[in-house]
Amino acid sequence: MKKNKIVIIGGGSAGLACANALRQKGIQDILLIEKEDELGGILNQCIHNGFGLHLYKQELTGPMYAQRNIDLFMQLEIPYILNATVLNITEDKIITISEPEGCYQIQAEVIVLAMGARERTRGNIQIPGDRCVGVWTAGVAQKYLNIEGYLVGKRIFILGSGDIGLIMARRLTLARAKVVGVAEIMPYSNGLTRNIVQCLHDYDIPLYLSTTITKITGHNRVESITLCQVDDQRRPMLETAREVEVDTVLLSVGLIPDNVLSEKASVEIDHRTKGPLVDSQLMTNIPGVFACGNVLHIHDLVDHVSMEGMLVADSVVSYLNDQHFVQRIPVEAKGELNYVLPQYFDTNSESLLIKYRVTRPKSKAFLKISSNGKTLVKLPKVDLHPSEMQTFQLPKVFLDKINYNLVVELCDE
Amino acid sequence: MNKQVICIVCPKGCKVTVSKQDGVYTTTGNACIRGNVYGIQEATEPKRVLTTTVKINGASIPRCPVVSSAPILKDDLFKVISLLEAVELTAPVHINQVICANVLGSGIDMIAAKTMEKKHDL
Ligand code: SF4
Repeated sequence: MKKNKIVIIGGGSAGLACANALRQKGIQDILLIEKEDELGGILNQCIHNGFGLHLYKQELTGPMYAQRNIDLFMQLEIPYILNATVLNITEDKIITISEPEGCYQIQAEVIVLAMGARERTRGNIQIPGDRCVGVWTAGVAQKYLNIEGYLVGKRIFILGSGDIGLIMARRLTLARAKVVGVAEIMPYSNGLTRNIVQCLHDYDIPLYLSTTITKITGHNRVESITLCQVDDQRRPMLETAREVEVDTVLLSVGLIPDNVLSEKASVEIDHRTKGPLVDSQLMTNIPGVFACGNVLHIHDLVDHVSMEGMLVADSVVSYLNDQHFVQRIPVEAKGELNYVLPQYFDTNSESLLIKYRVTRPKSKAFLKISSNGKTLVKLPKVDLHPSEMQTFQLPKVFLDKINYNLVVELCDE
Repeated sequence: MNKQVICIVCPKGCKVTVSKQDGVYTTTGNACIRGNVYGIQEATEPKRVLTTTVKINGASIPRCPVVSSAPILKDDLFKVISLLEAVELTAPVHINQVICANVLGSGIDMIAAKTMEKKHDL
Protein backbone atom coordinates (compact mmCIF):
# COMPACT_ATOMS: atom_id res chain seq x y z
CA MET A 1 0.00 0.00 0.00
CA LYS A 2 1.09 3.55 -0.78
CA LYS A 3 2.27 5.41 2.31
CA ASN A 4 2.18 9.10 3.18
CA LYS A 5 3.16 10.79 6.39
CA ILE A 6 0.47 13.47 6.21
CA VAL A 7 -2.67 13.39 4.10
CA ILE A 8 -4.84 16.49 3.99
CA ILE A 9 -8.39 15.94 2.78
CA GLY A 10 -9.69 19.10 1.12
CA GLY A 11 -7.91 21.81 -0.88
CA GLY A 12 -9.89 24.81 0.33
CA SER A 13 -8.65 27.54 2.64
CA ALA A 14 -8.16 25.27 5.65
CA GLY A 15 -6.32 22.52 3.78
CA LEU A 16 -4.11 24.92 1.83
CA ALA A 17 -3.14 26.92 4.92
CA CYS A 18 -2.30 23.71 6.78
CA ALA A 19 -0.27 22.26 3.89
CA ASN A 20 1.66 25.49 3.33
CA ALA A 21 2.46 25.88 7.02
CA LEU A 22 3.58 22.25 7.33
CA ARG A 23 5.91 22.56 4.37
CA GLN A 24 7.31 25.82 5.74
CA LYS A 25 8.10 23.91 8.94
CA GLY A 26 10.16 21.53 6.89
CA ILE A 27 7.74 18.62 6.55
CA GLN A 28 8.34 16.97 3.19
CA ASP A 29 5.91 14.08 2.94
CA ILE A 30 2.52 15.73 2.45
CA LEU A 31 -0.30 14.81 0.10
CA LEU A 32 -3.34 17.04 -0.41
CA ILE A 33 -6.51 15.57 -1.91
CA GLU A 34 -9.12 17.78 -3.60
CA LYS A 35 -12.43 16.64 -5.08
CA GLU A 36 -12.94 19.53 -7.53
CA ASP A 37 -10.83 20.23 -10.61
CA GLU A 38 -9.11 23.22 -9.02
CA LEU A 39 -7.75 24.18 -5.62
CA GLY A 40 -9.22 27.00 -3.54
CA GLY A 41 -12.49 25.53 -2.34
CA ILE A 42 -15.63 27.58 -1.84
CA LEU A 43 -13.77 30.89 -2.19
CA ASN A 44 -13.57 30.37 -5.94
CA GLN A 45 -17.26 31.14 -6.17
CA CYS A 46 -17.30 33.92 -3.53
CA ILE A 47 -16.35 36.68 -5.94
CA HIS A 48 -17.31 39.52 -3.58
CA ASN A 49 -14.68 41.33 -1.57
CA GLY A 50 -14.05 41.63 2.15
CA PHE A 51 -11.80 38.64 2.71
CA GLY A 52 -8.43 38.81 4.41
CA LEU A 53 -8.86 41.88 6.59
CA HIS A 54 -7.43 40.09 9.64
CA LEU A 55 -4.68 38.10 7.99
CA TYR A 56 -3.53 40.38 5.19
CA LYS A 57 -4.87 43.74 6.41
CA GLN A 58 -6.59 44.30 3.09
CA GLU A 59 -9.90 43.49 1.53
CA LEU A 60 -9.52 40.82 -1.11
CA THR A 61 -12.14 39.08 -3.20
CA GLY A 62 -12.62 35.37 -2.58
CA PRO A 63 -10.70 34.26 -5.68
CA MET A 64 -7.86 36.66 -4.81
CA TYR A 65 -7.60 35.28 -1.28
CA ALA A 66 -7.59 31.75 -2.67
CA GLN A 67 -4.99 32.61 -5.28
CA ARG A 68 -2.54 33.81 -2.62
CA ASN A 69 -2.74 30.46 -0.91
CA ILE A 70 -2.61 28.51 -4.17
CA ASP A 71 0.40 30.48 -5.45
CA LEU A 72 2.30 29.74 -2.24
CA PHE A 73 1.23 26.10 -2.39
CA MET A 74 2.56 25.78 -5.95
CA GLN A 75 5.78 27.57 -5.05
CA LEU A 76 6.31 25.12 -2.19
CA GLU A 77 5.76 22.25 -4.65
CA ILE A 78 3.48 20.30 -2.37
CA PRO A 79 2.07 17.12 -3.97
CA TYR A 80 -1.68 17.10 -4.60
CA ILE A 81 -4.38 15.25 -6.54
CA LEU A 82 -7.43 16.91 -8.13
CA ASN A 83 -10.79 15.34 -9.03
CA ALA A 84 -10.17 12.83 -6.27
CA THR A 85 -12.95 11.51 -4.08
CA VAL A 86 -12.10 10.02 -0.73
CA LEU A 87 -14.45 7.06 -0.36
CA ASN A 88 -13.45 5.95 3.08
CA ILE A 89 -11.10 6.55 5.97
CA THR A 90 -10.57 4.12 8.79
CA GLU A 91 -9.58 4.42 12.40
CA ASP A 92 -6.20 3.01 11.36
CA LYS A 93 -5.82 5.91 8.97
CA ILE A 94 -6.20 3.97 5.75
CA ILE A 95 -7.66 6.23 3.09
CA THR A 96 -9.52 4.87 0.05
CA ILE A 97 -9.36 7.21 -2.93
CA SER A 98 -11.05 7.20 -6.30
CA GLU A 99 -9.40 9.50 -8.81
CA PRO A 100 -8.93 9.60 -12.60
CA GLU A 101 -5.82 7.38 -12.35
CA GLY A 102 -7.71 4.70 -10.47
CA CYS A 103 -8.95 3.55 -7.11
CA TYR A 104 -6.43 2.74 -4.37
CA GLN A 105 -5.57 2.98 -0.69
CA ILE A 106 -3.07 5.07 1.21
CA GLN A 107 -1.74 4.43 4.69
CA ALA A 108 -1.32 7.79 6.43
CA GLU A 109 0.43 8.58 9.66
CA VAL A 110 -1.56 11.79 10.13
CA ILE A 111 -4.87 12.79 8.54
CA VAL A 112 -6.04 16.38 8.46
CA LEU A 113 -9.78 16.70 7.93
CA ALA A 114 -10.45 19.87 5.92
CA MET A 115 -13.54 18.94 3.91
CA GLY A 116 -15.49 22.10 4.64
CA ALA A 117 -19.25 22.22 4.91
CA ARG A 118 -22.39 21.66 2.92
CA GLU A 119 -25.58 23.67 2.78
CA ARG A 120 -28.79 22.82 4.51
CA THR A 121 -31.38 21.98 1.89
CA ARG A 122 -35.16 22.12 1.58
CA GLY A 123 -35.30 18.62 3.01
CA ASN A 124 -33.41 19.70 6.11
CA ILE A 125 -35.91 22.44 6.93
CA GLN A 126 -39.00 20.84 5.44
CA ILE A 127 -40.97 23.48 3.55
CA PRO A 128 -44.31 22.01 2.47
CA GLY A 129 -45.67 22.43 -1.03
CA ASP A 130 -45.03 21.30 -4.57
CA ARG A 131 -41.82 19.61 -5.61
CA CYS A 132 -41.21 21.93 -8.53
CA VAL A 133 -38.10 23.23 -10.25
CA GLY A 134 -36.69 26.52 -9.03
CA VAL A 135 -35.73 25.84 -5.42
CA TRP A 136 -31.99 26.14 -4.93
CA THR A 137 -29.59 26.57 -2.09
CA ALA A 138 -27.87 29.96 -2.22
CA GLY A 139 -24.44 28.38 -2.65
CA VAL A 140 -25.51 26.32 -5.63
CA ALA A 141 -27.06 29.39 -7.27
CA GLN A 142 -23.81 31.21 -6.56
CA LYS A 143 -21.77 28.50 -8.23
CA TYR A 144 -24.03 28.51 -11.28
CA LEU A 145 -23.81 32.27 -11.65
CA ASN A 146 -20.20 32.98 -10.77
CA ILE A 147 -18.51 29.92 -12.22
CA GLU A 148 -20.82 28.68 -14.98
CA GLY A 149 -22.51 31.96 -15.89
CA TYR A 150 -26.11 30.78 -15.47
CA LEU A 151 -28.77 32.85 -13.74
CA VAL A 152 -31.14 30.60 -11.77
CA GLY A 153 -34.23 32.79 -12.12
CA LYS A 154 -35.76 36.20 -12.79
CA ARG A 155 -38.01 36.87 -9.79
CA ILE A 156 -36.33 35.47 -6.74
CA PHE A 157 -37.19 35.17 -3.07
CA ILE A 158 -34.51 34.32 -0.52
CA LEU A 159 -35.24 32.38 2.65
CA GLY A 160 -32.74 32.95 5.43
CA SER A 161 -30.64 36.02 6.13
CA GLY A 162 -27.27 34.30 6.46
CA ASP A 163 -24.41 36.03 4.72
CA ILE A 164 -24.49 33.84 1.61
CA GLY A 165 -28.14 34.73 1.08
CA LEU A 166 -27.47 38.44 1.48
CA ILE A 167 -24.46 38.34 -0.83
CA MET A 168 -26.55 36.50 -3.40
CA ALA A 169 -29.35 39.08 -3.14
CA ARG A 170 -26.90 41.74 -4.33
CA ARG A 171 -25.20 39.49 -6.84
CA LEU A 172 -28.48 38.47 -8.49
CA THR A 173 -29.61 42.09 -8.60
CA LEU A 174 -26.40 43.10 -10.37
CA ALA A 175 -27.01 40.18 -12.76
CA ARG A 176 -30.38 41.85 -13.47
CA ALA A 177 -32.69 39.48 -11.68
CA LYS A 178 -35.38 40.91 -9.40
CA VAL A 179 -34.88 39.92 -5.77
CA VAL A 180 -38.33 40.35 -4.27
CA GLY A 181 -37.30 39.97 -0.64
CA VAL A 182 -35.49 38.07 2.07
CA ALA A 183 -37.28 36.36 4.96
CA GLU A 184 -35.72 35.45 8.30
CA ILE A 185 -37.53 33.30 10.83
CA MET A 186 -35.60 34.80 13.75
CA PRO A 187 -36.40 38.30 15.03
CA TYR A 188 -32.90 39.43 14.08
CA SER A 189 -30.75 38.99 11.01
CA ASN A 190 -28.15 36.26 10.85
CA GLY A 191 -25.86 38.20 8.56
CA LEU A 192 -23.24 40.86 9.20
CA THR A 193 -24.55 44.43 9.42
CA ARG A 194 -22.25 45.32 6.59
CA ASN A 195 -24.03 42.84 4.34
CA ILE A 196 -27.49 44.01 5.39
CA VAL A 197 -26.51 47.55 4.40
CA GLN A 198 -24.51 46.87 1.26
CA CYS A 199 -26.53 43.96 -0.14
CA LEU A 200 -30.11 44.79 0.87
CA HIS A 201 -30.46 48.51 1.70
CA ASP A 202 -28.36 49.53 -1.30
CA TYR A 203 -30.83 47.87 -3.65
CA ASP A 204 -34.04 48.46 -1.67
CA ILE A 205 -34.52 44.76 -1.05
CA PRO A 206 -36.87 44.24 1.91
CA LEU A 207 -35.87 42.02 4.84
CA TYR A 208 -38.83 40.42 6.62
CA LEU A 209 -37.90 39.37 10.15
CA SER A 210 -39.88 36.76 12.13
CA THR A 211 -41.18 35.54 8.80
CA THR A 212 -40.93 32.27 6.93
CA ILE A 213 -42.15 30.48 3.82
CA THR A 214 -44.97 28.09 4.66
CA LYS A 215 -45.66 26.82 1.16
CA ILE A 216 -44.10 26.65 -2.27
CA THR A 217 -46.55 26.44 -5.18
CA GLY A 218 -45.83 25.57 -8.80
CA HIS A 219 -46.62 23.12 -11.54
CA ASN A 220 -43.31 22.45 -13.18
CA ARG A 221 -41.56 25.60 -12.05
CA VAL A 222 -42.08 27.63 -8.88
CA GLU A 223 -44.99 30.04 -9.40
CA SER A 224 -45.50 31.49 -5.94
CA ILE A 225 -44.67 31.18 -2.28
CA THR A 226 -46.74 31.75 0.83
CA LEU A 227 -45.10 34.02 3.40
CA CYS A 228 -46.20 33.92 7.01
CA GLN A 229 -45.09 35.80 10.10
CA VAL A 230 -44.17 33.64 13.07
CA ASP A 231 -44.85 34.11 16.78
CA ASP A 232 -42.15 34.05 19.43
CA GLN A 233 -42.24 30.24 19.40
CA ARG A 234 -41.51 30.38 15.67
CA ARG A 235 -44.99 29.04 14.87
CA PRO A 236 -46.55 30.50 11.71
CA MET A 237 -49.46 32.86 12.38
CA LEU A 238 -51.78 31.75 9.60
CA GLU A 239 -53.83 34.96 9.57
CA THR A 240 -50.72 36.78 8.29
CA ALA A 241 -50.26 34.48 5.29
CA ARG A 242 -49.83 36.12 1.92
CA GLU A 243 -48.89 34.85 -1.48
CA VAL A 244 -45.96 36.29 -3.42
CA GLU A 245 -45.33 35.54 -7.09
CA VAL A 246 -41.79 34.40 -7.78
CA ASP A 247 -40.16 31.92 -10.13
CA THR A 248 -37.28 30.97 -7.84
CA VAL A 249 -36.63 30.37 -4.14
CA LEU A 250 -33.11 30.46 -2.73
CA LEU A 251 -32.40 28.85 0.60
CA SER A 252 -29.75 30.40 2.79
CA VAL A 253 -30.55 28.47 5.91
CA GLY A 254 -27.16 27.54 7.19
CA LEU A 255 -24.19 25.30 6.67
CA ILE A 256 -23.44 21.93 8.22
CA PRO A 257 -19.87 20.65 8.63
CA ASP A 258 -19.40 17.81 6.18
CA ASN A 259 -18.40 14.91 8.41
CA VAL A 260 -19.65 11.90 6.47
CA LEU A 261 -16.06 10.69 6.13
CA SER A 262 -15.07 11.58 9.70
CA GLU A 263 -17.85 9.40 11.04
CA LYS A 264 -16.63 6.46 8.98
CA ALA A 265 -13.35 6.71 10.86
CA SER A 266 -15.25 6.75 14.20
CA VAL A 267 -14.40 10.39 14.83
CA GLU A 268 -16.71 11.63 17.60
CA ILE A 269 -18.98 14.51 16.61
CA ASP A 270 -20.22 17.35 18.83
CA HIS A 271 -24.00 17.69 18.46
CA ARG A 272 -23.73 21.47 18.80
CA THR A 273 -20.93 22.32 16.35
CA LYS A 274 -21.74 19.29 14.15
CA GLY A 275 -17.97 18.96 13.84
CA PRO A 276 -15.47 16.65 15.54
CA LEU A 277 -14.82 16.93 19.25
CA VAL A 278 -11.26 18.22 19.46
CA ASP A 279 -8.66 19.15 22.03
CA SER A 280 -6.71 22.39 22.19
CA GLN A 281 -4.39 21.08 19.46
CA LEU A 282 -7.45 20.43 17.26
CA MET A 283 -6.88 16.68 17.39
CA THR A 284 -9.97 14.46 17.34
CA ASN A 285 -10.55 11.40 19.52
CA ILE A 286 -8.51 9.40 17.01
CA PRO A 287 -4.80 10.05 17.65
CA GLY A 288 -3.24 11.55 14.54
CA VAL A 289 -6.51 12.75 13.04
CA PHE A 290 -6.92 16.53 13.15
CA ALA A 291 -9.65 18.89 11.90
CA CYS A 292 -9.68 22.51 10.78
CA GLY A 293 -11.95 24.96 8.98
CA ASN A 294 -15.66 24.53 8.33
CA VAL A 295 -15.55 20.77 8.85
CA LEU A 296 -14.77 21.54 12.50
CA HIS A 297 -17.30 24.32 13.03
CA ILE A 298 -18.87 26.93 10.77
CA HIS A 299 -16.81 30.09 10.42
CA ASP A 300 -17.89 33.54 9.39
CA LEU A 301 -14.42 34.75 8.38
CA VAL A 302 -12.02 32.86 6.15
CA ASP A 303 -9.10 34.39 8.04
CA HIS A 304 -10.06 32.26 11.02
CA VAL A 305 -10.24 29.20 8.77
CA SER A 306 -6.69 29.78 7.56
CA MET A 307 -5.44 30.38 11.09
CA GLU A 308 -7.02 27.11 12.19
CA GLY A 309 -5.18 25.33 9.36
CA MET A 310 -1.91 26.83 10.58
CA LEU A 311 -2.67 25.83 14.17
CA VAL A 312 -3.20 22.25 13.01
CA ALA A 313 0.18 22.40 11.24
CA ASP A 314 1.82 23.27 14.59
CA SER A 315 -0.05 20.47 16.30
CA VAL A 316 0.89 17.92 13.65
CA VAL A 317 4.56 18.76 14.08
CA SER A 318 4.38 18.28 17.84
CA TYR A 319 2.37 15.08 17.35
CA LEU A 320 5.07 13.71 15.05
CA ASN A 321 7.58 14.59 17.77
CA ASP A 322 5.49 12.60 20.26
CA GLN A 323 4.46 15.65 22.22
CA HIS A 324 0.83 14.91 22.59
CA PHE A 325 -1.86 13.49 24.73
CA VAL A 326 -0.77 13.85 28.30
CA GLN A 327 -4.17 14.51 29.74
CA ARG A 328 -7.40 15.78 28.29
CA ILE A 329 -9.44 18.09 30.47
CA PRO A 330 -13.03 18.71 29.36
CA VAL A 331 -14.06 22.24 28.38
CA GLU A 332 -17.72 22.97 29.07
CA ALA A 333 -19.98 25.71 27.75
CA LYS A 334 -22.40 27.33 30.20
CA GLY A 335 -24.91 30.14 30.03
CA GLU A 336 -26.05 31.62 26.76
CA LEU A 337 -23.38 30.01 24.62
CA ASN A 338 -24.19 28.00 21.57
CA TYR A 339 -20.89 26.20 21.71
CA VAL A 340 -17.29 26.41 22.83
CA LEU A 341 -14.28 25.10 21.00
CA PRO A 342 -12.09 23.17 21.72
CA GLN A 343 -14.07 20.66 23.76
CA TYR A 344 -10.93 19.43 25.56
CA PHE A 345 -7.79 21.05 26.86
CA ASP A 346 -4.70 18.98 26.23
CA THR A 347 -2.37 19.68 29.15
CA ASN A 348 0.59 19.58 26.81
CA SER A 349 -0.66 22.63 24.89
CA GLU A 350 1.38 25.78 25.12
CA SER A 351 -1.59 27.96 24.32
CA LEU A 352 -5.35 27.84 24.41
CA LEU A 353 -7.46 29.71 21.90
CA ILE A 354 -11.10 29.57 22.96
CA LYS A 355 -13.77 30.09 20.31
CA TYR A 356 -17.43 30.53 21.10
CA ARG A 357 -20.75 31.71 19.79
CA VAL A 358 -23.64 33.23 21.73
CA THR A 359 -27.17 31.87 21.43
CA ARG A 360 -28.80 35.29 20.91
CA PRO A 361 -27.71 38.91 20.49
CA LYS A 362 -26.33 40.42 23.71
CA SER A 363 -25.37 44.06 24.04
CA LYS A 364 -23.59 43.47 27.36
CA ALA A 365 -22.34 40.33 29.06
CA PHE A 366 -19.40 38.83 30.90
CA LEU A 367 -17.25 35.96 29.76
CA LYS A 368 -16.22 33.93 32.77
CA ILE A 369 -13.62 31.22 32.55
CA SER A 370 -13.17 28.98 35.54
CA SER A 371 -11.50 25.73 36.42
CA ASN A 372 -12.42 23.38 39.23
CA GLY A 373 -14.70 26.04 40.75
CA LYS A 374 -12.09 28.83 40.68
CA THR A 375 -12.57 31.83 38.40
CA LEU A 376 -9.52 32.42 36.22
CA VAL A 377 -10.73 35.26 34.05
CA LYS A 378 -13.83 37.41 33.88
CA LEU A 379 -14.10 39.99 31.17
CA PRO A 380 -16.82 42.35 30.01
CA LYS A 381 -18.04 41.87 26.45
CA VAL A 382 -20.25 44.12 24.34
CA ASP A 383 -22.29 43.65 21.19
CA LEU A 384 -22.16 39.90 20.86
CA HIS A 385 -24.09 38.38 17.98
CA PRO A 386 -24.74 34.72 17.09
CA SER A 387 -23.47 35.34 13.56
CA GLU A 388 -20.08 36.50 14.81
CA MET A 389 -17.71 33.94 16.26
CA GLN A 390 -15.74 35.26 19.23
CA THR A 391 -12.25 34.26 20.16
CA PHE A 392 -10.30 34.52 23.39
CA GLN A 393 -6.68 33.58 23.88
CA LEU A 394 -6.33 32.41 27.46
CA PRO A 395 -3.21 34.09 28.85
CA LYS A 396 -0.38 31.58 29.36
CA VAL A 397 -0.16 32.19 33.12
CA PHE A 398 -3.53 30.47 33.53
CA LEU A 399 -2.66 27.30 31.64
CA ASP A 400 -1.01 25.71 34.70
CA LYS A 401 -4.05 26.52 36.79
CA ILE A 402 -6.36 24.37 34.71
CA ASN A 403 -7.29 21.16 36.41
CA TYR A 404 -10.27 18.83 36.54
CA ASN A 405 -12.35 20.94 34.13
CA LEU A 406 -12.56 24.24 32.34
CA VAL A 407 -15.88 26.06 32.25
CA VAL A 408 -16.55 28.84 29.77
CA GLU A 409 -19.63 30.77 30.76
CA LEU A 410 -21.51 33.76 29.47
CA CYS A 411 -23.21 35.53 32.34
CA ASP A 412 -25.10 38.78 32.83
CA GLU A 413 -23.05 39.99 35.77
CA MET B 1 -29.97 68.18 5.71
CA ASN B 2 -30.40 65.14 7.92
CA LYS B 3 -29.43 61.66 6.86
CA GLN B 4 -29.48 58.33 8.66
CA VAL B 5 -26.78 55.81 7.95
CA ILE B 6 -25.78 52.60 9.68
CA CYS B 7 -22.07 52.53 10.42
CA ILE B 8 -20.53 49.29 9.18
CA VAL B 9 -16.97 49.89 10.33
CA CYS B 10 -17.32 47.59 13.33
CA PRO B 11 -19.94 45.02 14.45
CA LYS B 12 -21.67 47.47 16.80
CA GLY B 13 -23.56 48.96 13.85
CA CYS B 14 -24.29 52.43 15.26
CA LYS B 15 -27.17 54.38 13.70
CA VAL B 16 -25.46 57.61 12.73
CA THR B 17 -27.35 60.80 11.90
CA VAL B 18 -25.43 63.11 9.60
CA SER B 19 -26.48 66.77 9.54
CA LYS B 20 -25.22 69.73 7.59
CA GLN B 21 -25.28 73.27 8.93
CA ASP B 22 -23.56 76.22 7.26
CA GLY B 23 -21.63 73.85 5.05
CA VAL B 24 -20.26 71.85 7.98
CA TYR B 25 -21.16 68.19 8.51
CA THR B 26 -21.70 66.83 11.99
CA THR B 27 -22.71 63.39 13.17
CA THR B 28 -24.60 62.05 16.17
CA GLY B 29 -25.20 58.49 17.29
CA ASN B 30 -21.72 57.27 16.40
CA ALA B 31 -19.98 55.70 19.37
CA CYS B 32 -16.54 56.55 18.00
CA ILE B 33 -14.76 58.82 15.53
CA ARG B 34 -14.65 56.20 12.78
CA GLY B 35 -18.43 56.47 12.57
CA ASN B 36 -18.08 60.20 11.94
CA VAL B 37 -15.75 59.73 8.99
CA TYR B 38 -17.76 56.84 7.57
CA GLY B 39 -21.10 58.57 8.13
CA ILE B 40 -20.13 61.75 6.29
CA GLN B 41 -18.68 59.82 3.36
CA GLU B 42 -21.75 57.60 3.18
CA ALA B 43 -24.20 60.50 3.41
CA THR B 44 -22.45 62.65 0.83
CA GLU B 45 -20.74 60.38 -1.66
CA PRO B 46 -21.43 56.68 -1.06
CA LYS B 47 -19.01 54.38 -2.85
CA ARG B 48 -18.74 50.62 -3.21
CA VAL B 49 -16.18 48.15 -4.45
CA LEU B 50 -17.79 46.44 -7.45
CA THR B 51 -17.30 42.74 -8.04
CA THR B 52 -18.85 40.77 -10.87
CA THR B 53 -17.81 38.34 -13.60
CA VAL B 54 -17.18 38.78 -17.33
CA LYS B 55 -17.28 36.32 -20.17
CA ILE B 56 -14.02 34.51 -20.91
CA ASN B 57 -13.25 32.23 -23.86
CA GLY B 58 -10.70 29.46 -23.90
CA ALA B 59 -10.43 28.95 -20.12
CA SER B 60 -11.65 25.94 -18.17
CA ILE B 61 -14.67 27.89 -16.92
CA PRO B 62 -16.72 30.51 -18.85
CA ARG B 63 -16.64 33.41 -16.35
CA CYS B 64 -13.75 35.45 -15.02
CA PRO B 65 -14.22 37.28 -11.70
CA VAL B 66 -13.35 40.99 -11.77
CA VAL B 67 -13.12 43.70 -9.12
CA SER B 68 -12.81 47.48 -9.19
CA SER B 69 -9.37 48.80 -8.25
CA ALA B 70 -11.04 51.26 -5.85
CA PRO B 71 -14.58 51.97 -4.61
CA ILE B 72 -16.90 53.31 -7.32
CA LEU B 73 -19.72 55.83 -6.82
CA LYS B 74 -22.78 53.86 -5.83
CA ASP B 75 -24.88 55.56 -8.49
CA ASP B 76 -22.48 54.41 -11.20
CA LEU B 77 -22.53 50.70 -10.37
CA PHE B 78 -25.12 49.67 -12.97
CA LYS B 79 -23.46 51.81 -15.65
CA VAL B 80 -20.22 49.91 -15.09
CA ILE B 81 -22.13 46.61 -15.12
CA SER B 82 -23.50 47.58 -18.55
CA LEU B 83 -19.99 48.26 -19.82
CA LEU B 84 -18.80 44.90 -18.56
CA GLU B 85 -21.68 43.00 -20.12
CA ALA B 86 -20.13 43.82 -23.50
CA VAL B 87 -16.65 42.58 -22.55
CA GLU B 88 -15.38 39.23 -23.77
CA LEU B 89 -11.97 38.01 -22.63
CA THR B 90 -9.72 35.34 -24.04
CA ALA B 91 -7.55 33.15 -21.80
CA PRO B 92 -4.92 33.42 -20.49
CA VAL B 93 -5.79 36.21 -18.09
CA HIS B 94 -3.55 37.05 -15.16
CA ILE B 95 -4.68 38.20 -11.73
CA ASN B 96 -4.63 42.03 -11.43
CA GLN B 97 -4.62 42.41 -15.22
CA VAL B 98 -6.66 45.46 -16.28
CA ILE B 99 -9.88 44.30 -17.94
CA CYS B 100 -11.53 47.66 -18.45
CA ALA B 101 -9.44 50.79 -17.85
CA ASN B 102 -10.62 54.08 -16.40
CA VAL B 103 -14.30 53.17 -16.28
CA LEU B 104 -16.62 56.16 -16.92
CA GLY B 105 -13.57 58.39 -16.70
CA SER B 106 -13.35 57.72 -12.96
CA GLY B 107 -9.67 56.81 -12.98
CA ILE B 108 -10.69 53.41 -11.61
CA ASP B 109 -9.94 50.18 -13.46
CA MET B 110 -11.77 46.88 -13.44
CA ILE B 111 -9.15 44.20 -12.86
CA ALA B 112 -9.12 40.41 -13.06
CA ALA B 113 -9.43 38.73 -9.65
CA LYS B 114 -8.12 35.36 -10.77
CA THR B 115 -5.45 33.87 -12.97
CA MET B 116 -7.12 31.85 -15.71
CA GLU B 117 -4.91 29.72 -17.90
CA LYS B 118 -5.70 28.65 -21.39
CA LYS B 119 -7.54 25.35 -21.35
CA HIS B 120 -5.44 22.49 -22.66
CA ASP B 121 -7.45 20.17 -24.83
CA LEU B 122 -7.44 16.68 -23.47
S1 SF4 C 1 -19.39 54.45 15.07
FE1 SF4 C 1 -17.60 53.39 15.85
S2 SF4 C 1 -18.49 51.98 17.35
FE2 SF4 C 1 -20.19 52.64 16.07
S3 SF4 C 1 -20.31 51.09 14.45
FE3 SF4 C 1 -19.00 52.74 13.69
S4 SF4 C 1 -16.94 52.07 14.17
FE4 SF4 C 1 -18.31 50.85 15.42
